[in-house]
Amino acid sequence: MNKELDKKIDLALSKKNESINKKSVDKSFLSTLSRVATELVAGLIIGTGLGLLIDNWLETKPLFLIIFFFLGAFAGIYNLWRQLSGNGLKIGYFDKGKKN
Amino acid sequence: MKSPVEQFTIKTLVPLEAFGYDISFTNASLFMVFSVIASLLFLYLGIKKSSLIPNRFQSSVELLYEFVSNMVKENVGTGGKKYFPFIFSLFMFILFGNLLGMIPYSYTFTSQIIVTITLALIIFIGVTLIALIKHKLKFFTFFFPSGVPIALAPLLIPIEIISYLMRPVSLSVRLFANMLAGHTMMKVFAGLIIMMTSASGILKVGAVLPLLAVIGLTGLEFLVAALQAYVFSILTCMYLHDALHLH
Repeated sequence: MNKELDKKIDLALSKKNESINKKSVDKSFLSTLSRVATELVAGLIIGTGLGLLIDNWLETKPLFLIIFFFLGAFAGIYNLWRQLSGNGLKIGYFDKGKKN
Repeated sequence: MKSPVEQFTIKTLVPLEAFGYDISFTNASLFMVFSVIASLLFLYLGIKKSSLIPNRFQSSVELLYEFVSNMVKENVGTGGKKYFPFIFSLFMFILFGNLLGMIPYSYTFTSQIIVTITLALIIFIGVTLIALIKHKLKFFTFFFPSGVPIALAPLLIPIEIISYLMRPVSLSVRLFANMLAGHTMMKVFAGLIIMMTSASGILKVGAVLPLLAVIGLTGLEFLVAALQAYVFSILTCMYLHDALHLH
């Protein structure tokens, strides 16, 4: 009798966990989708903005504008890759073997 | 016919000025007040007659509470509990702002970049301060973690700093762009219906197509309204996690 009940409880719990996992996958997919585009734009905005600021400060127009434009573009793509490879939006270098 | 972007115009309701700045009470401010009142009323009325077996209203309040509570637990980790009130208020404010914007003739304040960037900057500055207070100078290892070849430093440090500064921009642009684009698109398709019905011949029958599109878009906009509130608060949780645990 007890064993039967245990089995039933286990089954119910596993079903519950399954449905929770499925839900979180759907949600994270949708939210990732809406995050992707803005990362690229934000990288360019911050890159060019920083470049212009440094140029105005050191009066070296357009040297840093060009450098930071490419750095910003790279940061956008780098962040996108980090996000899609499952590291979230965390800042920093990630070792492939290390689990965060 | 009105232009599709006319819905976003700011109208001054009560002109105010302080220290040379224009701080007038506008239609955007009015809907921010509405959003706060609506979320407070929703929560208050929902748990007013709390019973062990909740009715639908109480259940929806509890579901929202548990949803955000789990989000904080999973994404901030240890020490995240004391930030729950902030995340919950943020979530409710944005969610009700987005949903109130779906009512015809109302105003969507989240479609203004100045509103979203203010929210994002509050989070960004707050999170940076939390990290600085908790980790002091160790916070700066955030931009150059151990285990990276030192030769990469000149390239990696600027990129990491840009990545960090990108956060408030991408956070605010995402919410603002989604709301702006969605509402403009709805208005454009709605305008198409009127234009096509006032035309002659076969075009009149074709007006059913933009009508179907508007129905679909309305559903989609409700999804986007809830999803963007969720994304905004879950990213806040992730930033808090980074601030509390660094890596």
